[in-house]
Amino acid sequence: MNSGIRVLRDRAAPVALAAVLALAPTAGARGQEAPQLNLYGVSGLIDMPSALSQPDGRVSATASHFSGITRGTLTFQITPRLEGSFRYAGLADLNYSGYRDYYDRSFDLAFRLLDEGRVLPAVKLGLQDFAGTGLFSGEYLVATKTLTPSLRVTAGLGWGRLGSYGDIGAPFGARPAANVGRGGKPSPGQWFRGPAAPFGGVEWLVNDRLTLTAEYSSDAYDLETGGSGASAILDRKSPLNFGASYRLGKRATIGGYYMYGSAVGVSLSLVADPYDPPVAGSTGPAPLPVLERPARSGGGAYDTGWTARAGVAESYTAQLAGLLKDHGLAMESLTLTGTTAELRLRNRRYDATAQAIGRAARAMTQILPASVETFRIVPSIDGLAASAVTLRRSDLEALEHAPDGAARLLERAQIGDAGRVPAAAMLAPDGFPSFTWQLGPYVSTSYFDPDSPLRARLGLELSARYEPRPGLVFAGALRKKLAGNLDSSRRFNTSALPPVRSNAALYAREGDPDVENLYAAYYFRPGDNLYGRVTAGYLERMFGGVSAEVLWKPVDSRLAFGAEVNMVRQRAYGDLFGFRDYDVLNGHVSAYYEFGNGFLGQVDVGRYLAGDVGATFTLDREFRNGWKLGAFATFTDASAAAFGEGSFDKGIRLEVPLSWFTGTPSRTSAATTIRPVSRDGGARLKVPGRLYESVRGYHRQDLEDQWGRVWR
Amino acid sequence: MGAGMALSGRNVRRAALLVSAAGVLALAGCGNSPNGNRLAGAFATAAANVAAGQRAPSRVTTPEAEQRAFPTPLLKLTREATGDEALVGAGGRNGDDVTWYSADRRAITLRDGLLAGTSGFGFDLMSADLPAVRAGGGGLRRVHYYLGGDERTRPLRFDCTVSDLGGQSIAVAGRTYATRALRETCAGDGGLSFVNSYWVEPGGTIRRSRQWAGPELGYFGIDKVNG
Repeated sequence: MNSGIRVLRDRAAPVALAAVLALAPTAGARGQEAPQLNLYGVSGLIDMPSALSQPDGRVSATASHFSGITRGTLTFQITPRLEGSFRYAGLADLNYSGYRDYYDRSFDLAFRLLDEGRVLPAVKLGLQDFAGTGLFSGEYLVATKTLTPSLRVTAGLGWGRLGSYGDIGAPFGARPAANVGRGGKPSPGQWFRGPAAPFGGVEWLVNDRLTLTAEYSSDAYDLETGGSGASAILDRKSPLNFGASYRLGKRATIGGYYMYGSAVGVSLSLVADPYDPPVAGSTGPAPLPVLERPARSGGGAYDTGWTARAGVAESYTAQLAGLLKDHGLAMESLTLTGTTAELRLRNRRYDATAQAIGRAARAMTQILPASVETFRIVPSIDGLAASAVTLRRSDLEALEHAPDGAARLLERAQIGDAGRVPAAAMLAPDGFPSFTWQLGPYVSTSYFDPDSPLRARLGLELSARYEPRPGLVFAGALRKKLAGNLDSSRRFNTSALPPVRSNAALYAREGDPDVENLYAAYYFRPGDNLYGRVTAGYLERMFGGVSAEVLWKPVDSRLAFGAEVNMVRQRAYGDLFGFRDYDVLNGHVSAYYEFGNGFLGQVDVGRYLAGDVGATFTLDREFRNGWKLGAFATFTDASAAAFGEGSFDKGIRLEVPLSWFTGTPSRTSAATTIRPVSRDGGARLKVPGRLYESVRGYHRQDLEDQWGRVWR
Repeated sequence: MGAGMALSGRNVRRAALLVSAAGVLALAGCGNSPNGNRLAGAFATAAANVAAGQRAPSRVTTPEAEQRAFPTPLLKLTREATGDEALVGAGGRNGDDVTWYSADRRAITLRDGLLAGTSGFGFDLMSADLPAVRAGGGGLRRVHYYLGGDERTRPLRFDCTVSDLGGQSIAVAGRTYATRALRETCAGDGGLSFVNSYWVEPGGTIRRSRQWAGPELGYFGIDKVNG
C-alpha cells in the first residue's frame, strides 16, 4: 500500500491466476499457432522436448497426469530463444526416500541455438531439472524440421534421464555419480555425460486446433518402474507414446495420450501473452476534455491580477482538488503563480503512470486561470515526490486530438527531478490529515509441504492508514482466520540457522487473530536524486524494529544505488504484540540496473535475518504493461549443510496487473513468489514501502513505456 | 498448479459458507480506501465481461420529439458490433474537435463531423489524420493511430477515394433532411479496407454518417438528432 501499487503478495495463488486466465475473454485469434507443450510443460512432443520455442514472453501453465505421475509446470519464454520452467511433480505411491507420495521441484532451461531455415532444422540445447534433487535430470540436443505446413519431425539425443533407454554409448565419457547433497545446486559436471540415447517423433497438425503426435521416448523411467527401491508405479511396455492435443481457444489446450504401452495420460495447458491482453487500451471511463482558453487577443482573460486577490488561489486549489478526486487522483498540494502551477499528485487509480499525468493535466486546464501556462506535475508516493513532468498548456491544447498526439506531447514534455516542495505550496483542503480503512478478505498460501503441497488460508483483514501530513504515515493491518489448513502443517524448524523463516507454521497456528503489521513510516527527500525512508514498528508478521533506507536514482538514470539498515527483533508466534529473544542487525547495499527491453537487474550485498552474510542476485523481465517475471538466488556464508534442503535460497516471482484482465485502470496487481524451499538462510526483512519500486514507476523509462496512454 | 485446497470433509460445508460470505464482502467492498480493488473484483469483472457477451444491446428510448427539442446538441451513436445505442452530448470543444460523451463516460471525438477518436471502448482509435472528405475525389490519405497490447502506438495508413452519390432525402429522429450522400472507400495497411458513408446537408453539416473506427471496433452510426 505504501508503494502506491497495491500488491496482493502471496494472496494470489497460481491456481487463482490460472482460473482468471481461463475466464479472460479472448480477442480474435491472430498469427501463428505456437508449438505444443509436452507433459513436462515445455515446448515438445509428448514426453520428449522439441527444438521449437513459444512466442517471446509467453507464460504457460501446464498440468499433466499419467500412471500416478502428476506434473505442474510454469514455463516462461524469457527471450525469443531462451525458455525457462519451474515444475512441481508428484509421484503417487512411489514409496521412495521415506515418503509414500514423492514430490519434487525442478527447474529447466532450454536455448534455441539455430532457427529453422529452408534446409536446416531448428536446433535447441536443453537442461532438464538442472538445480533440483536431480531425480528428473537430463540434457538434450534436439532438432525439429517442418516438412510440410502440417507435418513436423523431431529428432534428438538425450543424456541423464533422457539417455536411459536404448543408448548408443557415452560420447563424452561416464556420468559422475550424482552428489545431490542438500539438492538444489546445478551439477555441471554431470551435464552431457554418461549414456546418450536418441529420441524423436512426428507431429501432424491436422487443423488449427487438432495435433496428433507419435514419439519414441528415450526415458527408461527406471525409478518409476521400481528402481532404487521404489514401488513400481508405471509399467513401461513400449518406448512409443501417442497423443492428441486439441486447442480449445487461444488460451487453453487439452491433450489425451497413450503412454508407454500401458497408461492413459491427460494434460491441460493455459497460456497468456503479456502483450496480448483481452482488451488493448482501456475500457475505463473517457477522460475530461482539455478546456480551451479564449484567444489571447480577447481582453483580460490572461491577466494575472487574480494573484493579488485574497482567497482566489485557495478557491482554485479547492476546485482542482475536487475535480481530481472525481477521477481517482488526489491533490497533495498546489503552488500557483500568475503563470505556473505545480501540482503534487497522488495517483490512486492508474497503473499507467502517464495516464495519471495526462488526466491531471486536463483537470488543470478545466480549473486554472488562463494566465497559467506551465503545468509542473509532481507524482508523489506517500509524500515522496518521485519526479516532475512539466507540460505547456498550449501544447496540451494543440495536441489533445492531434494525429499521434501522445508522441508529439512527449517530445515537448520535460521530465526531471521533483525538487523541494515550494514554500508557497497550499495543501489540499480536507487532504490532510487523511484516514482510510478497509475490511476485506485475504488468502495466504504455502506451497510444497510434502504432506500437503498447497496449503491456504482464507480470512478477513482490517487495515487502516493515517497520514497527518504528507510523508508521515501510520498504518496497520489485523487479520482473522476464517478457514483453511495453513495451521495444520507439522513442518517445523530443522535448520541449523536461527529459525527466522522456518517457523511459519507456528505463526500460522498460534497467531489468530494476528497483527500483520503496525508501523510508523516517514518518507523524505534528503537531496536531489535522493530518496529516504524510516520505518518503525511491527514491520512484518515475523519481525519488528526499525528500518532505514536511502536510494539514489536520477529520473533519467538506468542505474540506481540503495542502502538499507534494519535493527529488528523476532516477533512472538501467538501473542499479538510480544517478541521473542532474537535480535539481528541486518541490511544491504543494493545496485539496480535497467538493461533495456524490460530486463531489470538487482544485486543486494549484506547481512540477512539469520546473521548470514552474502548477496542476492535478481533478474526480472518487466513488460511495459506491468507484467513481471523474474528469478532470484541468494548466496551467503551459511553452508549448504546449515541451510538444509535446497542448499541456498532461490525462487521465481510473477506479478500480473489486474488491469490486464479487466481492461480498466487499477494499481492493484497479483503477485506471487515461488520458492522451491523456504528456509532460514538468505532471508530478508519484508519491510513495507521499499523505495526503488515505489519511485521507479514515475521515472522516465516507466513513464515513456506507457506514454501512449497520456491522452487516455 | 495441479493441486487443490484440501479441506477435511466435515469442514467443507462451513468453508463453503465462509467462502461465499467472503465473496460477497469482496464484491461489496468495505471501507473508505479509494483503491479498494481486489483480486475478487477481477474475477467479478472477468465474469461480467463474459456475461456481457450475452447481454441485450442498450437502446435509446427517449422519444424522437424530445431528442429534437433537447436544448444542447445531441448525437445518437450506434455501435454496430454490439448493437448498442446511446445519446451523446458535446462535452468538450477544442478547435475543430468536439468530444461527445455518453452517460456511461464513453466518448467519441469528431473533427468537423469526421471520427477522429474514441475513448473507453477498448481497442480505441487514439488519434487520426483525416482527409478533406467533403471536397471529394481520389488520392486522399488517412492515418489512424492505435495503441497495441504492447503499449506501443501504431499507425494504420489508408488510401481513400470519395465519390458523390447525389442527393438523398433522409429521416433523422423523425425529421426529413435533404442531403448529398458521399461514400469514402479506403484500403491500406494490413489488407484492411472500409467504406465510410456521409449524408451532408447543403451547409456542410454531416447529418448522418457511418464511420469505421478500427479493426476491432468496427463501424459507428452517428445521427445528428437536433440542431
